[in-house]
Amino acid sequence: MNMSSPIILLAEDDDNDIFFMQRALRKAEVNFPLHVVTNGQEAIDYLGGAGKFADRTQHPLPSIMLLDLKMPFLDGFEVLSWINAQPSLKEIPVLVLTSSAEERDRQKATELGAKGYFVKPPTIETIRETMRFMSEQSPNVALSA
Amino acid sequence: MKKLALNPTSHRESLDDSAEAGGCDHSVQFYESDSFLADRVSAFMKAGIDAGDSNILVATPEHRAAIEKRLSQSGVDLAVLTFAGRYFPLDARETLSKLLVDGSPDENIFNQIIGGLVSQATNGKRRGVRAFGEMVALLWADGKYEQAIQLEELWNGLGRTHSFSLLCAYPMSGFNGTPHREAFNHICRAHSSVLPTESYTASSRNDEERFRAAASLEQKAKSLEAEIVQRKEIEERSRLLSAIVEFSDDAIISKDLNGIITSWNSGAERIFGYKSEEIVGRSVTMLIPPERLYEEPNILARLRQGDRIDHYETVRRRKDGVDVEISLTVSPLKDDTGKIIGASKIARDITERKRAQQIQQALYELASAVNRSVALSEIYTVALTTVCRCQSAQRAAILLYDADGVMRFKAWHNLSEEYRRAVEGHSPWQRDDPSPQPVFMDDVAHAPLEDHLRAVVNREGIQALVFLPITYEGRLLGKFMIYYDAPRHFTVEELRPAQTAVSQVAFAIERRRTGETLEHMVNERTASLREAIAQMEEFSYSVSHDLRAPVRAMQCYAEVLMEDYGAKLDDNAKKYLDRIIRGGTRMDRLIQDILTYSRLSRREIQLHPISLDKLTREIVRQYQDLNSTGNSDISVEGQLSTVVGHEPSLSQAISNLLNNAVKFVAPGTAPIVRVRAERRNGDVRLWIEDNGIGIKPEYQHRLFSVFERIHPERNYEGTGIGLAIVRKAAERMGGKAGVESDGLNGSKFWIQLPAAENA
Repeated sequence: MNMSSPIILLAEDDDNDIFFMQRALRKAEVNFPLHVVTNGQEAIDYLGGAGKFADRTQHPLPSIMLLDLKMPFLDGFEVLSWINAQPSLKEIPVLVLTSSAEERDRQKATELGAKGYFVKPPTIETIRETMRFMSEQSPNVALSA
Repeated sequence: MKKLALNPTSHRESLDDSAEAGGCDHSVQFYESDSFLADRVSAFMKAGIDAGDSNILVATPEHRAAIEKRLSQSGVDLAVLTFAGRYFPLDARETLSKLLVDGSPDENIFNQIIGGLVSQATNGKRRGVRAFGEMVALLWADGKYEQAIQLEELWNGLGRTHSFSLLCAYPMSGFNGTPHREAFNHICRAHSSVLPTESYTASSRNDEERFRAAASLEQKAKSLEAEIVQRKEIEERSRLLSAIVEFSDDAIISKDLNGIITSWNSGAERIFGYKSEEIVGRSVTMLIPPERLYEEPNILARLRQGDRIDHYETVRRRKDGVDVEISLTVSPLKDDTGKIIGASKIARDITERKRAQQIQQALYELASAVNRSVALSEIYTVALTTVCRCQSAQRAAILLYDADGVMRFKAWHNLSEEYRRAVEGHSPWQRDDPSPQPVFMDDVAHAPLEDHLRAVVNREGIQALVFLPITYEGRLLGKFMIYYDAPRHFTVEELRPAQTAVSQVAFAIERRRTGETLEHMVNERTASLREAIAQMEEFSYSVSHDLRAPVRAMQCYAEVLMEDYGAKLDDNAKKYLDRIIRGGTRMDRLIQDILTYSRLSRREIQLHPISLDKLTREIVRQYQDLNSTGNSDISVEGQLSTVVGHEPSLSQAISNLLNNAVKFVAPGTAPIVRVRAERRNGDVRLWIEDNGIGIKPEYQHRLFSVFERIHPERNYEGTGIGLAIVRKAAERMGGKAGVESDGLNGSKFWIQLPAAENA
């Protein structure tokens, strides 16, 4: 059993939003390590252990992923599509965190397998929801408060 | 000349008077029977004999025998008289033949023969002379009227030198008929006295009777004259009627009740080709095509009943076997007693009229096809059939310029592939010809054709053809070809139906081209519009992501500052931070509202039945959940029915109305909102009524526009887009939205949508 500490992967290109996420986690008193990639291509590389993310000890697979939709190079939808094609990654819940409240984005993300959809900015409530998804997916991971 | 004497006695006296006067008494006796003539002449002579006069008798042998017989019976011995030189009989015809020179009586010979005889008879003027002559009557009977008058004048001339009494005689039968009236007068004028026929000179009559007879005669003459005038009128009318019948364009035929033709005018000859002598006496069924023979018994049966048949349109067969379309009017013919003895038939040749009707019909069908905008290929087919029918042509074709400026076959009727290949591209006109004219080839045998073209035309069996230009507003589009299997003399007039058809085709082609151009244009514009919409979508998306990101950052950092450093800030700084946060919030809502509004405007929405009741109650519930601390009283009254709409749009609209209803209340007033619905014809109107500050009617028209605010921002927060969204949503769903308010007692906003069918 993998008892290593759960990891949250955040794909986000906006520094402000990264800051707000870190602050929200802090305010929600969640201490799991947050790994950040800043565009879609990096997100795929990280998940696939490619390039600079080859070392899984440095870059372990996350327990949950928070994914922005609008990012440089590859956007969030493309990342979702790629993940769908990777059987080994099916276990990782992906939650979308975006500034778009557009219904069509919400629908498309759901169709591509996103487990949740949050509109920015992230709040304590967002973090609690995220933790709920994570515990459903990996019941053995203790939610260390 | 002496007066006319009716009485033979007075006549004799007059003769005596004239003898004394040394002149000639010249009387004329008209007679009806020879025996009367013999009576009169013998009496005339006997009177002379008794008076001691000599007698000259110029008579036909028959008349002479009759006269001499009567004289003998009255005791006259002619032999003695002859011996005594008092009786000179002459043969009238023989004497006349001696007098005539070149057919006319010669004066010298007359004076020599007759004059000599008269002189001899007077015996040196010792005796009176009486003469009877009927040479004039012989001339008259031969029709030599002028010569008879001449001879009378010769007698009169003799009377100026010799003294004698002369009696002429004419049979009355020689004066029958009008043309003789003038001659009769002339003869009467040539005589000093005129003696009527035996009908009016019977010796038994006294003066009284004679006057009565004269009066009766006068009356007879008058009524005769009147009858003659009447008869002339009848004759004139009858002549006119015959002329009308004869010269009528229509066939006018009479037949008996067995259908045997009894008369036939020249119109009938022209229409049916039979001459009168070929058909009169034969059965009218000769004219009826075998398949229509059933008609005649019906016609005859109706005639026998006295019925008339008016304008019965049928077909009859000409002598040459060609059928002719006619309109028939048949009326019974009756005799004096009213009995039906036959029928008169008037047949009008309506072949031309029928043909004109058919041409009109064919052209109408073409025009109707053009108007219905059916496919061009179908219009071509109709046009080809129409032209072949109207022009009695065997083949036709439509050729149009293609994109390379070559005239190519577009449609054809009865033309071989070989022919089409051979003549394609050929045109009698330059493409830029401003007014191309029709070209006729009456007989291709004599037309200037290139050898290979002539060969292919001959093989096709074409002997005459017409090129009609297909033009539209002076532009040559192509040509319409009409072909005949026999030489033909073309006239512009006869090709008029074809010209009409061609202009219809030109119109159809041109309209189709215009239509295609227009469609192309519409497609292009639609594409560019789609692109613009796509760009707009992209823009909106960017706005929702990128424009909101910095606003959110400002807002969030201000909140972070307040949370993390609030303790170190004074009240002013906190107030400013609060202003920054509120500004950011407002900016964010503004962006979201604009996005909503523009999304509503351009998104295609699908309409479905929506339960207004369920939706409205859900919205109210959510509102109350979100505003649990508020003091508002929102009630939904009754059961709301089902409408047709787009649920997200409708939900948005109702939410906005609800928010407004609660928001715009006077300070310190608890909002009371009533929601209810009512049917309006096929629609459902949802009312949201509040106890708010209301909107004065003069401002209401601005209420539903983007960024319009009636109430100052200071008092009531809002973006000014909410109601614009409501109205836009309603319109996109085929409904409408509005407000009723007096500006004092709250507002009644409504949104109205089509009711679902089963609602």
